[in-house]
Amino acid sequence: MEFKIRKATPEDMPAVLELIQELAEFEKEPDAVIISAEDLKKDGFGANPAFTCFVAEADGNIEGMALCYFRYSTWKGKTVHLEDLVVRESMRGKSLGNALYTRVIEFAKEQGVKRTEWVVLDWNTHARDFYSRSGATVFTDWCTVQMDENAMDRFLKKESR
Amino acid sequence: MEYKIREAKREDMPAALELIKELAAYENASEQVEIYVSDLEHEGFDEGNFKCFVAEVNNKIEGMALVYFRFSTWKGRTLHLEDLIVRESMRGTGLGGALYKRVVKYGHENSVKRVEWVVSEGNKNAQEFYENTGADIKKNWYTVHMDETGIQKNID
Repeated sequence: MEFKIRKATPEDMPAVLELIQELAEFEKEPDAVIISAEDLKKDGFGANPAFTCFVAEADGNIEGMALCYFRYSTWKGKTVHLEDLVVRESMRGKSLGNALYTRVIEFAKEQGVKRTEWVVLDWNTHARDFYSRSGATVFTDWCTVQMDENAMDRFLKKESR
Repeated sequence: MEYKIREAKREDMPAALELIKELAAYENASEQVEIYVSDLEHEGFDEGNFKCFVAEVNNKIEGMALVYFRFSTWKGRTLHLEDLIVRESMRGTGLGGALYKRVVKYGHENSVKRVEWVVSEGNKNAQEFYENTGADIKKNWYTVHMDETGIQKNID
């Protein structure tokens, strides 16, 4: 199948959001997505973009996307973080995912970073095996911690008493 | 004990790196630290790739917290706490809690949807502290790293 991997434009953001929603459903959190296509346009483009997005295009349709941004390791310096890599379910197994994955790693290399990183769900053994085979290391001994907006409010109120 | 939490300046980076190395030594990973003071100065103060807060006691830097923004495709902009370190001799004096609070406040000031970080699975004390402050520990997300060797392997 013919497809093209390219940098996303603001016009791609509605299709990108569709894929984000599809992934949230796969991860069993269909209601977690509160972002809009307008937010993605505003945050991802312009003078100080918060992320870089690549898309996989087949027959003029966006069928996959990878979204990444820089982080900063106090051991290694600047790193690339892959936040999402999504291929439309009907288009899986056609190597779009692999091409997007390679594109992100190329991007990291172009940027001269020492590390590309991301997270994976513990039950997604298929993905974990793929990552390990490609030369990445899966760390099962680090947990992600998140404090959401409401918790932040509560914490700050309590602390200021 | 009197201390001051303030934004770090370029001149604080040697002390910040000292603390980074102290943490790496504690984790038996000293050889993993590949950055220099000049990297921290450039990345943090010319490029604006992170923000650093320090805890100062008697004009000496005794703790630091380093943060930067990330982007969640579900929530939008978030704040990531990369390191929070208090010099070993100064633990238990409230510096860590004060830095932690400053970070959450910074997230709040910048209207992020969440503040996030990672914790070692074995560090139950820290996990308990985080949960008591209202944070959630996600045990089912694993961190994946591809280092330079892995990156090169995928390019070739």
